[in-house]
Amino acid sequence: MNIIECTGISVFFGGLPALRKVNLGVEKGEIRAIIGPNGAGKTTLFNVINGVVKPSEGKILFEGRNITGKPPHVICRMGISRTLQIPRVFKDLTVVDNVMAGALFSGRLKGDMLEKYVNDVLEMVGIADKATVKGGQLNIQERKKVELARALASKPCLLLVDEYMSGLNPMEIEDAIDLFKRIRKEYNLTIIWVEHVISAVSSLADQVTVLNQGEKIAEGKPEEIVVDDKVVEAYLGERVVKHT
Amino acid sequence: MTAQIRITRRNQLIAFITLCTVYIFLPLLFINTPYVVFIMTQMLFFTIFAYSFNFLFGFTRQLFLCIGAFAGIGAYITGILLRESIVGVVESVILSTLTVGFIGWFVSYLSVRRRLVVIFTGIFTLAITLAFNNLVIGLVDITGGETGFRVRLVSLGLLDSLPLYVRFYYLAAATLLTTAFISFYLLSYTKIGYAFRCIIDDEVSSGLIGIDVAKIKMITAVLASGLLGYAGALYGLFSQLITPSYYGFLSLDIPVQLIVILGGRATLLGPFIGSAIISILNEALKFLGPLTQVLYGLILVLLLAFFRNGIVDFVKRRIVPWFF
Repeated sequence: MNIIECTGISVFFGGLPALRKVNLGVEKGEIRAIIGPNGAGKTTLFNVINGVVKPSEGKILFEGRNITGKPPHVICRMGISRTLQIPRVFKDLTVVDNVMAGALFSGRLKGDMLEKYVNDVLEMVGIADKATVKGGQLNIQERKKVELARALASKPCLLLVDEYMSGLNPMEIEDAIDLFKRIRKEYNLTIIWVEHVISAVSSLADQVTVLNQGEKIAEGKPEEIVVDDKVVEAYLGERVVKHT
Repeated sequence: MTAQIRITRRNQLIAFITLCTVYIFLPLLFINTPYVVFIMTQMLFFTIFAYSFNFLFGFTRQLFLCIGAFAGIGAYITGILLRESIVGVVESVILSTLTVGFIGWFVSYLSVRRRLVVIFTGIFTLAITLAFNNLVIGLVDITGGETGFRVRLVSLGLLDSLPLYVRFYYLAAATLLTTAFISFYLLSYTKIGYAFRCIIDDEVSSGLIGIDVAKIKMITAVLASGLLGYAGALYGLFSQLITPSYYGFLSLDIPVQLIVILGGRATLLGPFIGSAIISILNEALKFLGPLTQVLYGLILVLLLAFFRNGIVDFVKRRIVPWFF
């Protein structure tokens, strides 16, 4: 059974469609990448899933339960965590407090387990050495790590990751790919992941969904997607000369 | 890490007990100078009002510009009920508390549900202040209009053996210290404190990690408004005169904002420190007459421009990190 099933999701902002009848089903344990040019509706889709934006049409089932239109805090407590494209850590809280907050309010962990769990997450993400630094003093990559740790600390079943790799150098991308493989295994996660870095998508994603101008134009394995005519067209424009 | 937290809490508790002791014994030094006790009582009431405003604006970013109106509604309800001898003192004060609490909930509900940002909540509540003033001045038959009406001195039970102003001093002090202590407990020892810190920092992220921001805002609004209704009613009984000018924007809201911003937003000692300074300043500058209002405005502008985070924050950063 799919852990999340979005059917016919449409979102209109003042009459302009941001998403049009998008269907998305993700299997438990899968890493699903969502790619598409700027303005394709990737982040809007995340906003709809975790309740920041109410869809104009459509229905979202999470583990068989209807979560359409539920507010973000309820969806978080049900087991969907999210990181943002531009990370928003708590600036006046230390790193460990940031992550602790994630563990504390999801209500998905028992009291005496909290501290150990938080420390494990900090180690896993690789930010444990900054535990006592305040969120506001971190650079953008560190903030991304803290936000990821905070999302993991709420013990989700489904993790939504918004552009984790942008701005990383090739070495760091390797590390990040490795990190996501480990957290999927360790925490038994399903991950939906918006990304621009195609090389990372190819080596990490099980399935890829391509959005363009609010519509789903392709879906399949990474190696199929990169040669799909519609996808190439969306990214690069129409082919002028057809290869023979 | 935990040891550090323990030391912080111990220091905070010591500071808090010292504060309580000072507030309990201070009026005894001035028992023969009623004027000083009167000023101190007034200061306590303003500290209570500031506590409410601090919880609304400081902790949950709800800019209620109707602190005076809320306190006024409390005072008028109690005053009118007592004047007409409809119910007793206790019932009147309870009714004031509940009514204002309900209004506060309603305002917060609207601003949360309709997603009014800070500034729109401000405009909306300022309109409540204007409506309250016009209503009170207009309904002369019930409210006594511009000049208001007198309230008879009420019995405070056991406190009646004390001199007049000292009675109300202790009543206000009990209210304030209880409020402060409950706040201290909730903020330092429960999850609520953590939630407040997250909300102050970033509301969007707070929602993402599972904090019900709307619920916390509304509960805060009910409690803070209820406190305003209660303290407003007591303030009316203490003044023995209820007039619109006591509860106006200039005479109540501005000093309260000044106290909270000077002392420190979203802090527990801030209102105490702010109100002490403003009270002393107010007495020292009495000779200026109406010019003090100008001065208040000027101070508020300067604070907002250069000292937004207040004294507590300053002390915390520069002197003692456990300050709260």
